[in-house]
Amino acid sequence: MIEATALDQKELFIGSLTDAEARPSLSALNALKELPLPTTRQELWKYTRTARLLSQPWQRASGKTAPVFEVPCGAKEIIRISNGKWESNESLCENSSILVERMDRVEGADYLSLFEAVNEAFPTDIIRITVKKGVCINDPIAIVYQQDENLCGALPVVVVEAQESSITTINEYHVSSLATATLQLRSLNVSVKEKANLTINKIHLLGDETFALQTERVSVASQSSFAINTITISGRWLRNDLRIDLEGEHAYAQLNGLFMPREKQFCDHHTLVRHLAPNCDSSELYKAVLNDQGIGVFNGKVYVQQHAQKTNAYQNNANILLSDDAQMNTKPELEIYADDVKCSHGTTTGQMDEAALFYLRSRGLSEDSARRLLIGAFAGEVIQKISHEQTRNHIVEELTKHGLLFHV
Amino acid sequence: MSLLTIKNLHAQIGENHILKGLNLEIGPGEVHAIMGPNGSGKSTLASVLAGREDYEVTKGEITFKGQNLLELSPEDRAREGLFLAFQYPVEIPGVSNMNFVKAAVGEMRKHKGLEPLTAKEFLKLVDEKSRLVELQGYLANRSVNEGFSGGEKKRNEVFQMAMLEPQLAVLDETDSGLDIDALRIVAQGVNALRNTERSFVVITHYQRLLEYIVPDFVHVLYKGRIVKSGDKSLALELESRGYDWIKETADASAS
Repeated sequence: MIEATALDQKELFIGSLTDAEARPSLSALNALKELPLPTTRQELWKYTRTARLLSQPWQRASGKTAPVFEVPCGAKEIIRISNGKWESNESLCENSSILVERMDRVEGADYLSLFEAVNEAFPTDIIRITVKKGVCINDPIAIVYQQDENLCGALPVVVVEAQESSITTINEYHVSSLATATLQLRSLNVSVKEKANLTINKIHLLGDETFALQTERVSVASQSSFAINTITISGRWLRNDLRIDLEGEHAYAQLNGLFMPREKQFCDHHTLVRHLAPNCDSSELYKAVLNDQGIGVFNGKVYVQQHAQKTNAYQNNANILLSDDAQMNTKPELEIYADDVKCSHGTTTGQMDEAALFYLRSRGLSEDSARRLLIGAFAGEVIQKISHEQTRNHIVEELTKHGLLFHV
Repeated sequence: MSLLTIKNLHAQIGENHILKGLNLEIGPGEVHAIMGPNGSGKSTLASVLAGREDYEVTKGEITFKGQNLLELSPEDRAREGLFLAFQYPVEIPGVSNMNFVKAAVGEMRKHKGLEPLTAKEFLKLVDEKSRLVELQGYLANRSVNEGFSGGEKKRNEVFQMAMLEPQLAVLDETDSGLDIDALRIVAQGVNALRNTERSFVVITHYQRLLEYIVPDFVHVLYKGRIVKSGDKSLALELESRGYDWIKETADASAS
């Protein structure tokens, strides 16, 4: 009986988001049959409650244009994906340094979850961005994902290819209206070719009733470098699934995240970094500040294949709990099959440093300012990882605006 | 009128009763030294004055500038002009020393109804005050006390004091862990801030500091009470005779 209910729920969820006009991917369609609906009984979903998400009567987003979100980073290239659809109908080929085009379908394998398979089986749109060989783009390319339709789900898929020896930053802005219930499944497939350098700054400016499941799969070729900084400023329920494959020698991946779940927000980061070649480095820093009844999850796994000798992998997760009801679930994992590697992982979860708080107050700072100054110092370590100054300043501004930081 | 009046103060931390009926009166411009053996309650007094919440005041009163000090939060005490130079200044990684001092100066000025300083005015003030403790050019781009030596931390305390211009400064064993040069610099900074309005409570184990910061009054704290008061010659007497004679007299009169 329970089985039947779960099956019904899965069919119902998939059915609500499909569309006769969608261009289904066969591999994803097949995966849909096999993959179960995630429940807390599965190891990778142990702390990730999907009941509330699945109980909403979702329908597929229409693709209508949303009000313009002003991009705060000085981007010259802006790709707007409104309610699931790219606003443009023509390929963009600016200065021939990048190419942005629509694709008909993506075929994949080894889906991370049912949600990713639904996303790729029935995408609301597929956009492919190609950064041409050898180009160096100083200003970030912005992708703005916006939703303002109540109880609608957008399922965009974005494919990025950073060609050989290119240097680029992509800023992703995920934006939804404050009190509108929205669902976003967003799949990002990235390949960083030899000697290329790609940074993605993923910024969540989501509404109080937004649910988002975002997957990133990244392949990093030899001598190339990939960084992703995920900064969650707001959003009701977020799951980030990140898989990075270091495929060629001397490849480097850096993953950083800052999240501050408060009220009843939930934010989950599952990362998997696979060292598949020798002499690769990876470095991870995720920090969380949890307040009210906020819940956070960090599950970071580093996998080192047998011949991936001379691997350097570093992973750190640090958390501050500001209330008795906040909850952080953290699990760093190492799975190592090579014998000549340097891997470290660490995690700390604690409270605000009372001695530091008193010291600041004894100099005239209010308790509230002192708290926010200390949170700023804690969060600053992640924010400093973002090298684009305007982007960094915008993040500090947003966090200050949300009352999370004290900015002098 | 006195600046600070402490009457019959009793304070405890947990079940440990530390201050047991302390009386003290401090007038404007006066420097009071508080000495005493280990465990007599010297640092507890400093903590209670600054408003550290671990300490519970069970009896007595403290009046500062005519107000009930015990009703004020630590930040309001600071804004009213009370300053504690910490025995162990706290290291705060990631908080810029300059931003912190700027925020603190901003709060003081706001409390006094003054306009915030411009960036230029603030930097000028920093330059001037950091010279007092020979830290000029040293504090920019550093986190609060992070990686500072013991002497630098204490000099940074005096620098902050100079920036905040308190009416009453409590120096909690500011001389501990200082070499003779650092001691001289700290004392020189404190002396530069002495005036007819500003008062100091100098808590110390050693007479040495009082050679540099010459007190108007010296008090001996023992078992949570002030058992003897005198002028600066009392410090010299303690240095040569130790505390035993005071303990004996105090214990005899208590029993």
